[in-house]
Parts: sequence; C-alpha cells; structure tokens
Amino acid sequence: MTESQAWVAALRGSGPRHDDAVARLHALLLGGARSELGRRRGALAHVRGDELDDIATQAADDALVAVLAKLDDYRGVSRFTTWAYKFVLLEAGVRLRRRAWQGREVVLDTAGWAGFAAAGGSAHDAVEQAELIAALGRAVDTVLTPHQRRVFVALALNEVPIDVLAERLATTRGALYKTLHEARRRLRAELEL
Amino acid sequence: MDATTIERLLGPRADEMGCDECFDRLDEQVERELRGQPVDPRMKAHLDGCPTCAEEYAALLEFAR
Repeated sequence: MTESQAWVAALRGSGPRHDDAVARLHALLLGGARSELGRRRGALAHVRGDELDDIATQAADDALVAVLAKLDDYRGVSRFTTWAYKFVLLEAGVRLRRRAWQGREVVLDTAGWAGFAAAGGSAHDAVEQAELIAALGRAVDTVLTPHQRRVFVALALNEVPIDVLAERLATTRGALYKTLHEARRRLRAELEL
Repeated sequence: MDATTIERLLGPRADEMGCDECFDRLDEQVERELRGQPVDPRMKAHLDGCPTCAEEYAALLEFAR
C-alpha cells in the first residue's frame, strides 16, 4: 500500500485509526496555512500576529472539511498530500487576499482607464503603440457589455484579485474568469491582435 | 503602457481552461512538472492569464518539491 492509499484508507475508516488520520491531516493543513502566511508576510505587515494565527486555523479547519467531503474525488493521480494541500492553499489564499483588500475600494468603472492609458503615452512610445493604446481604450468602451467592462477594468486593469472581486459582486471565481475571457476575446477580435 | 502591458491586459492567445478546471487539476499538473513531464498547454495558458491561479500553482509547486 502506498502512503497515499494509506491516507485514504485511514480517513475512510473508523475508530482511533480514523481519528488519528484526521488529526495528522489537520496538523499538515495547519502547517501549510502557516507556511503560506509566512510566504506572504510582506503583504500582511499591517495584520496582527494573533489575527494571522486565526486566519491559519480557519483555513486549516475549512480545508479539512473540504478534503473529507471530497475524498471520493481523489483519483490518485498525485500524492494524497499534494492533493490535500491545494485545499489549504486555496482557503489561506482567499482569506489573505480578502484581508489585504479589506477596506480598500474596488474600482469598477472605467474612469481610471484614461489615466492609465495616458500615463504610458510618453514620447518614448512609438506612434503605432500610442495608436494601439487609443484603440484598446475605444474598444473597452464600445465592444464590451457594461458587466464585461467592469470585470475587465477591475481584474486586468486594476489587478483586483479575482476572489476579492467575486466576494464583492456575490459571484464565483469561475464565472468572473469566464466573463474576463470573453471580454479579452472581444477586445482581441476588435483590435485584430 | 507598453506592449507587454497590453499583452497582459488582453490575456493568453492560446486556448485555456477556466479557474475551476485549473483547481481540479492543480496537484496533477504540479507533479507532472516536478517529474519533468509537460504541463497541459491549456493550463499553462490559464496561468498566464490568471494571476491568482498562478499564485496557487507556484505555492503548491513549492510545497510538493
């Protein structure tokens, strides 16, 4: 039996073996969450240590629930620990990005677009480049639906993390990326790029 | 704004998967990369277009090493 098969068997089992596996998995996930927080310490300098500990614990708790609920989805194409770890990276990442954006306004209109385009329109830009920037600005205003424009401006232009925007707009990451993808496709088609 | 920025705004040209499929296959593709096997081009394209998924891919790659 491989190590991954042993994990799955223990987690599917019952009694002390199951309880021990759950405890070991939680410890692994908590370690993962803390490690992820450590990796991003630079972006979280303003967040208190005890709050970071809470974030790590919540991420590990929710990842544990997700892993146990999705155990039947584990197909064995990767090590069990790699598969399980992605859930805590997701949970920790979402919380950290939301915390980093807490209190920050998410700009959804295109007002910032003109300034952004103009900022790059220096004398160093080739004429062709300046025309492309102007054409992109026009395309954003004319070929995108209002929703596509809001999503494109927030995600691509203002670099709002996709899960932060998903929370603010009460939608999902998958749905937002689909909208962004379609907006980009329309813009490329319009610009023949 | 330069050509690189415009390319970033417009995202990948290649066919790409969405965020949900990317998450489903993240562990599999990370381990493929670690074994020196090619990563699905549709995932590579998505990671070029989605900084959040790219961040998660990089973090999982670091863990699985």
